[in-house]
Amino acid sequence: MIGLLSYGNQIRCGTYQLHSKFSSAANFFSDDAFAFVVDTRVGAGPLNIVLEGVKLDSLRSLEIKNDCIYLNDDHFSLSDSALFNSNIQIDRIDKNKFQDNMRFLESALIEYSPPKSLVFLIDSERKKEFISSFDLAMVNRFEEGVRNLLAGDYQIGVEAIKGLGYGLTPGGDDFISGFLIALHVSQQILKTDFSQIIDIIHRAAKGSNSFTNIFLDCAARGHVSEKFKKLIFALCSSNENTIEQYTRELLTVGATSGTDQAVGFLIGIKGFML
Amino acid sequence: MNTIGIIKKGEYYDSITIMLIAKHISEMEGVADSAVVMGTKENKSMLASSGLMTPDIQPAGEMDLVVALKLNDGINAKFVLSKIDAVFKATKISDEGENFIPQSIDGAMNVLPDANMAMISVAGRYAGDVAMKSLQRGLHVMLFSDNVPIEKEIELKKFAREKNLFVMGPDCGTAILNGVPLAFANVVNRGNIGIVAASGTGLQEVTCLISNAGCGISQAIGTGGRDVKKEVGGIMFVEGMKALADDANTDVILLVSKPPATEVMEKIISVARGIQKPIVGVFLGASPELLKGSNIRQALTLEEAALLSVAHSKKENASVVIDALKKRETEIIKTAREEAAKLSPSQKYLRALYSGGTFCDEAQLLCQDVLGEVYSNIPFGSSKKLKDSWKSENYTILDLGDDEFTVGKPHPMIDYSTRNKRILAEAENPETAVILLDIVLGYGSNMNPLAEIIPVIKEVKRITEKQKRHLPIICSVTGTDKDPQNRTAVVTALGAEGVNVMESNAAASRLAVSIVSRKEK
Repeated sequence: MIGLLSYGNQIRCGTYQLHSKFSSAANFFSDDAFAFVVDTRVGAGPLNIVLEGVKLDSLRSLEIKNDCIYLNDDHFSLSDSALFNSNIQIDRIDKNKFQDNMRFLESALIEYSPPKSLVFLIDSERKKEFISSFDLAMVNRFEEGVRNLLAGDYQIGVEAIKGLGYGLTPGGDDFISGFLIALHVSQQILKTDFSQIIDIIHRAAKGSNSFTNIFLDCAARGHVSEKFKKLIFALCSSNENTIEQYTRELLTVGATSGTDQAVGFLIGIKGFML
Repeated sequence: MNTIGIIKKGEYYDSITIMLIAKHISEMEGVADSAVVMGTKENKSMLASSGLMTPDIQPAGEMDLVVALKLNDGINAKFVLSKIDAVFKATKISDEGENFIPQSIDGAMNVLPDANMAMISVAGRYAGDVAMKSLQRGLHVMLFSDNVPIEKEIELKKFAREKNLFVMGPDCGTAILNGVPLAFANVVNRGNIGIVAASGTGLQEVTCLISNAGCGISQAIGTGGRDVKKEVGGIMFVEGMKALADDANTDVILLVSKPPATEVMEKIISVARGIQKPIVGVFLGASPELLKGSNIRQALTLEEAALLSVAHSKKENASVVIDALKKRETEIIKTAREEAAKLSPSQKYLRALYSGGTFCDEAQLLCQDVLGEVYSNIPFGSSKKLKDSWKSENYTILDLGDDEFTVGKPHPMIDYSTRNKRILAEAENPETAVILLDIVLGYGSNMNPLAEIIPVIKEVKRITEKQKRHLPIICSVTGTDKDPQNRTAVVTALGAEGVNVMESNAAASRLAVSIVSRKEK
C-alpha cells in the first residue's frame, strides 16, 4: 500500500508535469515551481513528497491542492503531522561544543566522503583523485573561488564556482547552497544580520538551470533537507557519535551532493564563526 | 590527438550514474582525456580551458549532458562513440526499469508468481505487516529486519504454524535453503546435515566448518535469537526440527542456540525424542548436564558441534572428533608457549575484537574458566559489563556488531573502520598481550576484507616494532573457498603477515587464552 510519510513546507499548490525520473525520485515542475516525489532513501526536504510503497517509475502526473496531493490515480490527504518543517531555528547551542563539533565534522568528512568530491578543499591530499585536464582546471577554479568568497569578494567567488562540476546539480551549486546555510546558522548564533551577504550570493549564484535555482532559493531562505537539518542540530548540541551518524547520512545524498553541501557549510562556518 | 564531443540533449542522469559513466569512459582504450558534465556555462568554460571544447558541444544548454573526449592518434572516433552509446544504453536499461524493482509484495508477486518465500528487509515498524501479508499470500518468510515487536513476532509465528509456513526471524541474518545462501551466508557444499539455528554467526561458523571438513548442508534454517525465549516459545525452532526430521535429504540434525528458556528446552528435548535421526546440539553457555538423558548429543563449542555432525554424517565414531581436538590442543599449547616467551613484562591482557556476536559469546565462555575476570560490552556467562565500551579494561572481549558501535554505520563484517581503529588503539597499549579477531566471509560481508585488514596489521607491526614489543594477532576466518572472497586466499595473506590463523573461533580463542595464561605463569 502506498503511504504518504511527509511533505515539505515549501511545496506550492499547482498542476505539475514530470521533469525527470531516477531510481529514488521523480521530479515534477510547474511554471515556476518544483516538487520532488521521493522514497525514504532520499527522505524529507523542503520540496519533497516522501512516499512509501510507491513505484516511482509509474508516476506520470502530480497535482497539489491545499489539503490533498493527487498522484496518478491516487490521492493523499495532507495532515499537519506529516508536514516537514525545513526551516532551521536554533534555540539552544553550546558554542564551545559547536566549535569542537565543527572540527569533528571536518575529520568525519575527510574520513567518510567519496574520493572525487569537494573535500579536496579541506584536505589537499584528495587532489590526487582529479586526473583529467577538466578535473585539474576545475580544482584550480574551485580553490580560486573559495579564496574569493572567504576574502569577502562574494560575487566573484560565487561566479567562479557556480554551475561547476558533475551532476544535474553541479558540485559548485551544492557547495554554494551549503555556504548559504552556514550564513543562516551563523547569523542565528552570532545574532548578526547576514541577509545582505546572503542576497549577494543568491543573486550571483542563480543561473538558467531552473532545477539548481530551486535548491539555491531554498538555501537562501534557510530551508534544508531533513538529513542536513539533523546534522546541524547535532552540531549545536550533540556528541561525536551522533554527528558521525548524521554526517554519514548526509553523505548518502547523490554521488557527492551531500558531501559538497557539507563542505560548503563547513567552509562557511569556519569563515564566519571560527 | 583528436578532440570530439557529443551532447545528450535533455537526458537526465543522477550524479552517481554520471560519475560511473565518466569513469567507464576515461578507462576506455584510446581515450587520453575526457569529461562528462552538464552543459553549464561554467563547465563549458572549463572544457575550453582544458582543451576539450569542440564546436559540436558549444550549443549545449545547462540541462544537457556533455561528453567531451580527447582520443589518441589513430583511434577510430566512430568506434569509441558507439562504445559510449552502449554505456549510456546499458545505464538507461538499469535506470528505467527493464530490470523492474518491485516496491511491494504484490508487485513482486506479479513478477514472480511462483515464488514461495519472501525475504523482508524494511524498517522494523513496517516489517511485521509486510511479513503477515506475505504469509497470507502463502509465502514462507525470512525476516531480516529487527525491531519488530515481540507480540507481532508471536502473532506471525502462530499464524505461520497454522498454515504450515516458516517465519525465519525477526533479526534473522543467515539461512541456506536448497543450497542458496541468504543474507549473511556462505557458499557451502550440499549434503545431509540439516541445521536449525537461533544464532546467525553461529550458523555461519558451523556450516563453513562442516563444508570445509568435506561434508555438506541440506537446509540451514535461521529462527532469529528471540524464538527460543519464553515468550515466543521456540515455535519455529521446533517446527524447523520437525521439518528436518521429515526431510529425505537430511540424515543428521544440528541445533545451534544460546541456552533456550527452560520450557522451550523441554519442548526441544521432547520433540527430539520422536526423531530417529542423530541430533547434535550446541547451546552455548549451557551446563554440560543440560541434555543428559536426552537423545541430543551435546557439544560445548560450535566447532565441536560441527565436527560431531560431520562424524555422524560420515558414520564415524564420535571418538574421532575427541581425539582430533585433543591433538589440536597439544599444538595450541606448544604455540602458546612459544608466543608467551616473546612477550614483554608489561603485556598482560587479551583484547578480543569481534564482528560476530556469537563468537564474542563463545570466546567469553572459553576465557572465563581460565582467566577469571573477563569484561565485555555484551557480558555472557560470568563476564562483567565494561564501564565504557570504547575503553578496554583487564581481559576485554568486545562485540563490535552491537548497536552501540553500529549506530548509523554498516555492520563491522561490512565496514571494518571502527574495529580497525580499535585494533590500533589496543596495539598502542603496552598492556595488550594478544589481539583476537574474527573475519567472516560470504555474501553480505565485505567483499575485499584483505584491503581492509592488512594495512592495519602492517601498522600494528610498525607500532610494536617501534616499541620493541611482540604482539601476537590471532584470527579465525569463517568462510569457504567457494565464497566470493575465497577463504584460502584470505588465510594465506593473513599468514604472510604473521597472523596466527586458526580453523575455528573456538581454536583461536583457546590459543589466545593459552598465551595470556602462560604469560601469567
